[in-house]
Amino acid sequence: MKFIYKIFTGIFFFLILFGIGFSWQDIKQGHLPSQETLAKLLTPAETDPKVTPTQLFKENYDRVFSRYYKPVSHDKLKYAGMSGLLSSVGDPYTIFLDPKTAKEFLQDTKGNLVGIGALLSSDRLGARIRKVYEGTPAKQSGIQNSDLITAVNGKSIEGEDIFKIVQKIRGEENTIVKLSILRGSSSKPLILSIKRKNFSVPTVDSKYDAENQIGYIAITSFLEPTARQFAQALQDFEKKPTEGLVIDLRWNPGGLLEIATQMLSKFIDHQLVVTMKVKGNHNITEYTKAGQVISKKYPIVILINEESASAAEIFAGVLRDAKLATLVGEHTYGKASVQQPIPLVDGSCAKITIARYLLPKGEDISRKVDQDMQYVSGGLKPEVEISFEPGSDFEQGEFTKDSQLKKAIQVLKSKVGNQKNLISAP
Amino acid sequence: MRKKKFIFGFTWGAVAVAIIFFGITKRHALDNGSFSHNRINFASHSLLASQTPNIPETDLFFHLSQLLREKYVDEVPFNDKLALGAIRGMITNLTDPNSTFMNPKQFENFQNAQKGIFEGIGVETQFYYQPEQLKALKNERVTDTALFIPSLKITSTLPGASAHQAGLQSGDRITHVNNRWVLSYEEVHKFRELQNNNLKQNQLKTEDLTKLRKQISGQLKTSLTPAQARELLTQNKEGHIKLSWIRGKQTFTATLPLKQTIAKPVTIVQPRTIRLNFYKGADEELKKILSQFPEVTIDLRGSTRGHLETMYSCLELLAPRGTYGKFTRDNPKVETPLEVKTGNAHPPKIKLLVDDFTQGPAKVFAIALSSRKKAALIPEKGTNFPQEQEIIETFSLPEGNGYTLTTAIYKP
Repeated sequence: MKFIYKIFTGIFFFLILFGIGFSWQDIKQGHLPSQETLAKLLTPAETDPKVTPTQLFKENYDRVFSRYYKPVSHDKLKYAGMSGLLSSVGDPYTIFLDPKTAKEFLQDTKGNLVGIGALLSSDRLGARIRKVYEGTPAKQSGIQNSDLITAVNGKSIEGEDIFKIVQKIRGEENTIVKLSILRGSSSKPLILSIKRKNFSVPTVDSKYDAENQIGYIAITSFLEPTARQFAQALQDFEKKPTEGLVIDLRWNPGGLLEIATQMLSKFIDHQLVVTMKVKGNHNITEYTKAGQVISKKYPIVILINEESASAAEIFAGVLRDAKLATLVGEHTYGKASVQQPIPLVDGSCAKITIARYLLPKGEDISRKVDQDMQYVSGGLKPEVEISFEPGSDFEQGEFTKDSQLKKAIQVLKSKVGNQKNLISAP
Repeated sequence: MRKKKFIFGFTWGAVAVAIIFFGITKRHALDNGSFSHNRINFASHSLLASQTPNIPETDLFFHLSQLLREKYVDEVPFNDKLALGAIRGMITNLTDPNSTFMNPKQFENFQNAQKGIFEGIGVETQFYYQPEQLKALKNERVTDTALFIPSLKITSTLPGASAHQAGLQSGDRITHVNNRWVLSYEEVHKFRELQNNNLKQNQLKTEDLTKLRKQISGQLKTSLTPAQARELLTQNKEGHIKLSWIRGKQTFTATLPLKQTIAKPVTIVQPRTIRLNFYKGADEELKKILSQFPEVTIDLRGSTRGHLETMYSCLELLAPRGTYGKFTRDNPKVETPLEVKTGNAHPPKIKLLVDDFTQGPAKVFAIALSSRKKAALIPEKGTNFPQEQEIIETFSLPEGNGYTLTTAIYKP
């Protein structure tokens, strides 16, 4: 009797061990294996002669490679397949980056580029300089705003696509690029040889409106150098008689959440930024840092539009929820998810949506679209709505040529007035 | 005694570990079928970052599938959907107008059409690319996405179908479906030109330009892609659809009923003139008719569908034994002749009517017969009839999906 009892205990023990081994990859993630997997274990394997997804992929990979009438490169086909694989989950932000794109992407998030240091815009005759960044080769060689580049390394770029032109001008560090430039009404091109350098793209542009005593900070994206540039701008305003701040997040597509959090720490002391919901109903919370709040309390107006997304929406939403800022402009995009880039050893990278987030007050801002992908709802709603009127003389951040900014200043001034009244009240 | 106990305990420990490991392997095998994978971790470590080893496609597929299952915010089952996505990615990336991935509804429609069964308004359509677009698309790096937008043209209307009754003709370009603009390279190009010219010459006032921009972006927002428009035209057996189309400089608008239309492979249009489509059974019917005619005019205008095999059988009926051109491939370089094995030693006198929309098997048929002087080719006025044709094969996939792939070029 005792012997049989021992055998049963032994078998039971073995089954438990097998179970642990079998469910290990689920246990690691903190849940139990799905019923589907368990059902598969209990049905004999012979009843499922179906090819596996991997086999199905391989079969068709080989077919396209060998049957297509033109030669196909292995890498190109492989990476196209991976790109399709990641899109199959139906999320536009879960994407695959091949090694070349991944390299550019990683460089972009660092805010580092190798080139001449100027922003170009398309022009039928070549490429026009829209902005020359400070401390870059372009600045040193005397390139000016609205100069027209007509040729790169002696070859005309007339009628070429702006992306192609940018690729031609970018290159390895310390190599030389020769640009032919037309300035003003001169018809004789200026030839400049410029050494390409590594430079960081300014993501923060600040201005001081002396008349209204208002500081204006435009943030173009949240990249690694942004937090430092932002802190610098705030410091500059503290030295001046500043009554309020306009933070312009229009056309800001977002960027790194940790950078946005760092920047929020300047206004909010150790408080909830977002609650991220990851796989399996787990919550991850992100808090601002303690002890970094700036001493001066400004009334803040944040400018937003439909192209403000992701980290920009978090930044604006958190300050709004903390009752520290008024949102002015148009509704934002509504990108309420977080992606993690996962680099692979071959240099490629998988960018996967790992979480959806809620703003501090529990608001879900995810974008809802109709069957034609048109916006229905979502995003942050501005408290003061003013739509964008594009005129030919529009210039973002120019106090006289930006009607949304004008409105923002007006709102800010009324807030400053209220605050003064409050303070002076007995 | 203690030593014995130690060995005893050690053995049981080893057995326990082995069982856990067996559990892990069993699970792994279940998830991946018979495919074996080394559990390599492909995540990059800083130490390895400078190395760029090649990851074999199946390992990369499996690893990324696992990553999705572990990391993606929602549940991702390891099923065919992942593989189908990857296949769609590969086919789309070829940027070949004739290699297309089709979802179950599209694939069903496609296969039905190959048999002559049509839904919608009963038309054959074509994604038409301008010569300059085709030239640009041959480049490896295309940066102007507008170049990928074809225009949607009618290639033929089926007798008895609603399009035929409404007067649609081959060559008509569809501009609006249900009052929504259908995107095309021509239109996008035209708008761009308009904007550029206006900016350059400053002819328009700012308000007018703003208005124009708003109008364009409004139209763009509700526009249909040519593929979406084609689906509306060629799917569903009931309901109505409102269409606008352009012929030359004339525009037309009409509301058409949607229904099923069955096209016959062979129709006698006039005495001694037949319309031929290479649907299944075309060879049988052709055989019956041919015995009555010492000479025949075959109308291949707008004939795009059907099967190569059926076309071969028809060729056997109309051409003497011999070789009729070749199929060429570049991957690797191979040429296979098109052979008529038994053939017809006493074929009738043949005239072939063709136009720009004579495509696929019909075009191979026309080139084969005319290049060997077995038939007189009569192209429609203004038709440029290049002497080559892509050979497109069809492959089916699980869950009703499928795709086409260009596998060779036929040349005389």
